[in-house]
Amino acid sequence: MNDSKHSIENQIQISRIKAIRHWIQDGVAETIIGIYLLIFAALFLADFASGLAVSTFMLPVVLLGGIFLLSPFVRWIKGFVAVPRTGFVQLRETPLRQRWIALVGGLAFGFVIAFIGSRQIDQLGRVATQEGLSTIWLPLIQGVVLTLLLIGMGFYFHASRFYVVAIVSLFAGGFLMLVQLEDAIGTAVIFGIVGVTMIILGIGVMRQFMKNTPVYNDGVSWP
Amino acid sequence: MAIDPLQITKLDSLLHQQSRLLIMTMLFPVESADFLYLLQETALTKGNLSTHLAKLEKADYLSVEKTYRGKTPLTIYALTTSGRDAFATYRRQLREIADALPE
Repeated sequence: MNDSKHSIENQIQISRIKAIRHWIQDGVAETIIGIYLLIFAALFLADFASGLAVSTFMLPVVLLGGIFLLSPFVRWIKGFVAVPRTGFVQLRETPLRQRWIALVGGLAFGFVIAFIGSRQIDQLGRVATQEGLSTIWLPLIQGVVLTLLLIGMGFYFHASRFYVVAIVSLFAGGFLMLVQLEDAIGTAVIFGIVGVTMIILGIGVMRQFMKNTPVYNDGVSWP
Repeated sequence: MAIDPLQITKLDSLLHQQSRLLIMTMLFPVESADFLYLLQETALTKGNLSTHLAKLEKADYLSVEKTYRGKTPLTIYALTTSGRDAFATYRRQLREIADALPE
């Protein structure tokens, strides 16, 4: 009886992991996330090219769009790629109210961090003008933040390929620190490198998936 | 703690069947899943799966929606509130019985 109890709890856990893995088995989610990161890169590139703070105005729009549209868009694409092959499973969604709370909380947290960061950078800038210091370590910090996010994704999705992108992000941050690019272009390059890596991995996974998993059709009608 | 033997007889007999229990554990952690997903993950035959799904649907433990994704017909199953409650009760009862048994 104890075995039954544990096997049910294990089975629920296994079912949950299978459903989560189903979300990334075909590479669609990675490819779309990669494209999403390229949008961030484009925003910072626009900052650099125009000399205006384009990202300041557009980032909230892109963030909101990501929170509310990314998941339905991935699901729509999966309707053509995964559903005819391995079926459809919908993970339990976070209620809209909780998503809004997370968004507001995240923005407030980001605001506080940005405020503290800007004050420190400002102080560092003052020291830099006096003592010749610089803020070249910023790309490394951005790389580390992305690395942590990717490790979190790898852990959540139980997919080691996210750790590969995490390593790429870390090395990209280190490399950009060494080549000393300007802030905006440095950020754009980091998001660009990570985005392109995710797209390449995603397309690779998608090709393998479509090659190895035929469309399910045995001529028998659906129940 | 002494176990009341009648506790075991109070387990939901509809859920206390391997295949249906497997279907319930597949659907419990998710919002919904279609027939093909359940077919592949449970490794049951089409006929077997259909029969068990029909029994769960008849007991109002499952809701069924027939729809399309692109050109693919989908039969989507989701646990109803009473299905979730029944499964939660089953889990709790099983845990209580298991905990009451000597090692």
